[in-house]
Amino acid sequence: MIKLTEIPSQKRFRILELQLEPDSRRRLNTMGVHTNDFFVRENESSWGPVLIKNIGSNTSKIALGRNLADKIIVESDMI
Amino acid sequence: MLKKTGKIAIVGQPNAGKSTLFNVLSDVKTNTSNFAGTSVDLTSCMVNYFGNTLEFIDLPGTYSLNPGDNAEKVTIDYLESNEVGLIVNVIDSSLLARSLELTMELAEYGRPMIIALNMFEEARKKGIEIYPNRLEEEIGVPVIPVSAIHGKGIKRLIDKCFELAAGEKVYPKKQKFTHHFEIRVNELEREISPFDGQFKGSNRYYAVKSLENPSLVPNPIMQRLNGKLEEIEKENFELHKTGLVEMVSYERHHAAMALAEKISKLSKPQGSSITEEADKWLLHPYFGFVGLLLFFSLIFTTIFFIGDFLTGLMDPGVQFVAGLYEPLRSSSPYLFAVVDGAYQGLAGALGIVLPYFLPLIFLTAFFEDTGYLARLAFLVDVFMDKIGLHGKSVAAFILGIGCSVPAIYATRILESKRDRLLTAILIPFVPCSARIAVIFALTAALAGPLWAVAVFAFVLLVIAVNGRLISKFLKKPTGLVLEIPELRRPDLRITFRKTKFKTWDFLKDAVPFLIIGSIVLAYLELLNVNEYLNIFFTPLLNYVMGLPEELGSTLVFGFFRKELILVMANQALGVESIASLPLTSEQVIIFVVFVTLYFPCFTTFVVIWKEFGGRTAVASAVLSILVAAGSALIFRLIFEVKNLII
Repeated sequence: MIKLTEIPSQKRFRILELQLEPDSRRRLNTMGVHTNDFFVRENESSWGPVLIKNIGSNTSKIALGRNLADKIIVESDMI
Repeated sequence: MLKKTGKIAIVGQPNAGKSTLFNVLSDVKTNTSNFAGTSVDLTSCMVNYFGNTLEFIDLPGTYSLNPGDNAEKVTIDYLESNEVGLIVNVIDSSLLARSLELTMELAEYGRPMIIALNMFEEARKKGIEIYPNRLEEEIGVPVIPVSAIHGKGIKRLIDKCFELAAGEKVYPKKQKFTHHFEIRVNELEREISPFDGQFKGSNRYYAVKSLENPSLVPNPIMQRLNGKLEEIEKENFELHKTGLVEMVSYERHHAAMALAEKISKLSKPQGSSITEEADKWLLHPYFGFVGLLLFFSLIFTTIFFIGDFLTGLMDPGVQFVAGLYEPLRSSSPYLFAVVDGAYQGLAGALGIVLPYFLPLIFLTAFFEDTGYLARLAFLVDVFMDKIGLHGKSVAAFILGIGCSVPAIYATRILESKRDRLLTAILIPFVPCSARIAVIFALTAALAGPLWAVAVFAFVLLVIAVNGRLISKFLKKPTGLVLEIPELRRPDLRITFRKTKFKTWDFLKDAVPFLIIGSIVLAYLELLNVNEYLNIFFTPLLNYVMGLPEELGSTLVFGFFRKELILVMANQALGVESIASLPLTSEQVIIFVVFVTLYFPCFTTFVVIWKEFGGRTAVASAVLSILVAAGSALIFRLIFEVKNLII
């Protein structure tokens, strides 16, 4: 279990928990970011937002501010 | 057949192509772009078709019927408070599963509906083959594939809209959740049944909303459901260890995925996407900023050189015509004031402002449609974070480069009130097209292009410092959540059309103002009234900024429209062209800095008042004047120190 900001670029991962306020959680859900879904991280840098893409449902890329991404708990996909 | 039928609301997720579809349906040109939140207000048009009239409403894009920001709230509020005869649900076919989540919510809402499957070709390229007839069977309403940008399928869509609006209502089928959860929703529906038909939404809609977003459910229903909800919440937590918000979202998400699988087939995408390759560079942590720098350089140099070229081209003609009525000055001074005022106003609009305005709005329209603005927001988020905001505010700032008014409205796409307020206070510092015209025209004529760049850099610094200081008094920002849409090749026809309409809006709104303002100033001069205005502004202009007091009256006009300053400065200082203004290059810079930062314009002031209240509007105006005066003083002191040293 690690924070989303700690996932390396191009690595697949599964979202385990959104440790956010209900409004922010709902917001992410409506934009296609759900717990248990598989994503891939599209960028890697030690600053700026984190860019992710849902692998399963073919959504657009979603940019998440770093503070927000720190509150998203994920696990790296071993496949 | 009906002569007039009900309202038809166009509802869809951001970037689904609602406004493009609406533009095709109407002659009204709404603002479209490849950036979430372009439409933040509603626009309507009447479509007359073989003697029948239908009213189409273009509602702001919403990801779901749980409003996440004020723009989305406009959509939900509209549906809840108007008699909507038919909903046109616009779906971005290339994002099928996610789009269907909103479709399912709309089906739950229970109003008559039709589905427009937009961007059908893009979906095919991404390897998604959709079968509209299967979706029709599953959802129970007509499904029409369309390509709004190319106008394909629109006639069939309109035909169907007329047929449905005038004939028997077709209600969508509600999609089922997993068995256990479905039973609970059905129980809630039965509890609500005594309220049947009393509210706009269906019983099922309020049953589901009572679980995921009780604030959207009318009080009488909530009072009836409270005990039952507690029981469901407890049970849900014991079974799944999650809250109800997650549970409903999970159920809807999986039902939408299942529906997407039923109605489409996935195959290999057609070739590797060029846009994916481009994104690797455009969003790169280092090269992305190189692109950003190139982007702004391109915008500024294009505006500067095209504007300067066009102004130079028109100047001899403008001077020649002015000479034709010069004899009136001595023979009939009052008539001369009218003729000269009107002509200077017109010449100012067409010869000074328009040359800079045209390339700016063309380039903004072009880049809006590419989707680059979302990438820009992504890149600058790291800086915005330092000034207490996040990248999404950049959308409003970019719109502010065109005009502060839509920029203030665009703050509605920001989720938190805190971010909206701070962005709205900072927007007046972003130079709008009128102020950009002032900056370029004055610096080009009297100080050189590098000074224009210096003024813009200073403005950025002002925004950063003010943002950082103000955010110290506010709570922590919420953070960026932004969809990065696919890069698209803009359709030049649409870019030209948008430029044409924005130019027409400018000419329609600004030219009468410029002409009347110019005539009024000519009379003020003739009657010596401007002297009193100048005396009022003397302490600021003369003592603080070291500028001639004759410029005082121009500042009054600048409160209404900034373009007036260019024309008024010529008139106030008694010269025919900007190049002849009796100001040193240093005075020009000081004047430009003050004009760029002080009080955006009266319309912006009114809009801030409307959106945020009187206190914020007055505070923002006072702040801008203080910052402008302080900044002008700083520049004056720098110049004086430099002159002492050299």
